[in-house]
Amino acid sequence: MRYAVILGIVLVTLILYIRAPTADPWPDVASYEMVGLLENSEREAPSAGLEITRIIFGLAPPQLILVILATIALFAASILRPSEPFIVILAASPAFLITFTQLGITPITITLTLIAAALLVRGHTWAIISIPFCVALDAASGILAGIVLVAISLRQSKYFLALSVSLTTIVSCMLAITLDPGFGLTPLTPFAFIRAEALGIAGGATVLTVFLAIIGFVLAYRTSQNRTLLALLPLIPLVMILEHGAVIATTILAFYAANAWEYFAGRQWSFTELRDITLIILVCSVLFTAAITVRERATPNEERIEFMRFAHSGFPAGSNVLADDASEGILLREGIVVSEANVPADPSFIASSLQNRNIQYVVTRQPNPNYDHFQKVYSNHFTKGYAVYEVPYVNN
Amino acid sequence: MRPRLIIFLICLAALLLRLFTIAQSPTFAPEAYETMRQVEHIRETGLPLVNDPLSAQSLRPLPLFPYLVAFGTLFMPTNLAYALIPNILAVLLHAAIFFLALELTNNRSLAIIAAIGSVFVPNYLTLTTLTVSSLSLAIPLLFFILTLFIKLRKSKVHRGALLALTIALLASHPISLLLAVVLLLALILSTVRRVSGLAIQYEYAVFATILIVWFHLLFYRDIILLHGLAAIKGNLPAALAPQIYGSPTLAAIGVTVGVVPLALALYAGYREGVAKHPGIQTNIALAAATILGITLKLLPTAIGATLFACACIPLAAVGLQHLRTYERTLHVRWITVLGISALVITFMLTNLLATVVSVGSITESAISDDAIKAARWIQENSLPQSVVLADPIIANMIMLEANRAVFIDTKYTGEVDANERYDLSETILRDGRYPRNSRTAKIDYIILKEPIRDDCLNTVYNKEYSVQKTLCR
Repeated sequence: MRYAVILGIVLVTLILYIRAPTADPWPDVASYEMVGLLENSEREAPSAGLEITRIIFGLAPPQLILVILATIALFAASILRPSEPFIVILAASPAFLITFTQLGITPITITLTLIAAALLVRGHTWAIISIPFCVALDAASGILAGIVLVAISLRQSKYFLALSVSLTTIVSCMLAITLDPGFGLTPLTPFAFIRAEALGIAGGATVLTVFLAIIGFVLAYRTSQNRTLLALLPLIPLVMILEHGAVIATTILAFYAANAWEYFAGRQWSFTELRDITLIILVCSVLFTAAITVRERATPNEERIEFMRFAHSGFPAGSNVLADDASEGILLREGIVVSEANVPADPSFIASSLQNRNIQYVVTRQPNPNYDHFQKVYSNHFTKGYAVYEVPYVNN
Repeated sequence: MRPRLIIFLICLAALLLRLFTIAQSPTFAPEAYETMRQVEHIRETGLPLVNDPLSAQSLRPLPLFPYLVAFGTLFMPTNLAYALIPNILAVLLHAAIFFLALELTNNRSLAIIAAIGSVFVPNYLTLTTLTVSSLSLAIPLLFFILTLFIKLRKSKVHRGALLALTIALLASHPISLLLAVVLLLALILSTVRRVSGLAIQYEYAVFATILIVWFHLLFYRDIILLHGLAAIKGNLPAALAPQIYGSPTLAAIGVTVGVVPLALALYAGYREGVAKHPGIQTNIALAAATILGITLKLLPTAIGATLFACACIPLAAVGLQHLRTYERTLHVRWITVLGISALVITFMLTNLLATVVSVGSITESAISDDAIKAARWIQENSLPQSVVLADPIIANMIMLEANRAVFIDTKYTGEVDANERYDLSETILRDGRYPRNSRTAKIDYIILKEPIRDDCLNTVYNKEYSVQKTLCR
């Protein structure tokens, strides 16, 4: 078991510490908002969740905190199901590696959720106190933790506990909304499920995990004939609707995939040669996915480094910028006001529409946006690089 | 005479027929040049060509067949290797059909008849004689795998061979996906018929299916992520799809398979449709899967029809066996003589005639020597960065002979808009119009038979094929 956990820790550490010495130390742009908060202790955090996260990551170097969180999460998972294949599949999955190499609320809430789930599986009902903590960090994560704990309670036939968990989640969310009017359910992303890179379908091997999970589920159903198991199936797409749910969904898939893995390893094969070949393919696929993810996450982005240098001094103080996900974190790090707005399809209305929202600049990575006629203040020379357009003054 | 010797002679005769066809043509079919480029690259670098500097498309070559041909070029002249190795591999199908039919009928005479019948599948000749195509390797492999799948319980050697051949097929051609469908269909048939003692077949089928699907998802990952479901057909332009994935008529299938084999296979299907013989079930599954593939337009018609024809031949042997059993119960000799004569005459009139016709069409389909000369003229008289527009089917020849980039070829898996490129090339090549827009500005030379009369185009080479240089930029 401990070797499987060590594999996960090594993979996370590899990404974080290969990347750390470069000018672009974080794989996700979103991480740079937290970098800005950590760099400038006087700056006010936009939400209570980010303030708590700042405190946690401020305790030690953030990379070290993330490695510790990944370790705790894997140990919690190993309590959830003491099985080496389960931990190996989970630890090497792109979803897990992505979650524990980003600087934000998600790694903390996922760790909390896994600890709570492990405690509940061991029979410690007080694990439900994790829900208010998760809600305090992020509403969507609180709901996610609630779903997981309700599912475990139902599986253990503890219906009263399931009801208590549901009520705790609802009350916590209501309280959070009452106390903080700005508190919303913004991280809800419908069909996050389809995001190929988060699921690791891009790596290909997760498709094998899905195959294995299906086989594992059929095996589990045939063994126990437990109808609650069928009721739990819709959970997979449900948790994926929540943006942070990819790692929980992967945990569920890995849970059943481990069933199939153990079945293949222990089965009395008629075609005896297939046993070893199957196990070799499984190991190779897991390592291959992990290798692809580590390589992609550990490689710094040249365009981003160039743009970060520009963002540090290129915008006038108090600028209001329209930005997408690819640049938002970088701008927030520099304390620039970032706005969201829909750009009209008709190019002649774009300038006036943005001017009405006091937006002075637009940052994009699109090669030929329909506001291409605006003056380009900055662009980097790389393909699909960043470009900054100045919104022209229009007399309304 | 020993059956093995007979099989060897049948394969030799088939090879001679193919070599006779090749001797009629000084050049190869257009499809051959894609493999030739791969072989040339392997000979120069030791690796297959993946990042093609001359094409806008991303290549995903399955490497086994080009490596086999490149290996052959170490021992013989290159052109001889292109002619000989694919055809030697292709005639192995007749041996595979012999073993499969032997497994189904347990009768050597019928198996030999099936092997002879498989020589006269006209589509197979067209697909594999002058094309230097990996199908020459993949189709025999598919049939050897099915034969071993049926015999799986018998020997440990069979199991090892089956695994090796499965991996070879995986590295040869995407028709390995068809194998997965066939194995699953065969298992469904066995389950429906409650055939017992097939645990080893079940294990292999599930393993092979998962391996094949996983391998293809991994191998074609980028193309799948880029084009989604369109990747199944290689992001083919909408206008081109009906030509490759058309629905053939029953008459066309009759010509492809031959009236006698088709009739006998249908008879066998009627008699054995509910059979418990796993071999017959597997063969029926192959025929059903190919028909399903053609109907759903997931399998190119030419490949699907050829595979269907090859699947019908062993089934025809089973049909013939039933016919013989029935004829023996009649005890009327003249009916036997009449029946055999009718079968032989019909076979001669359909399959043999179709084969003779296809031999003629194969030589006609080869690339004209003048097109090659036009391509060589471009190599000698143009800048290395020039872009050439020609009929997509000869694009690989141009890339090989002229060593110049082409505007469009037969692959559409790159990031570029396939439909837009195809429509533009059709406007120029078929309609004879030269539109003035930014896309055409990227074309430097056009190769076509009839020069286009346009101020923007200057004819710089004019023989049977002409070369026009674009002037408008």
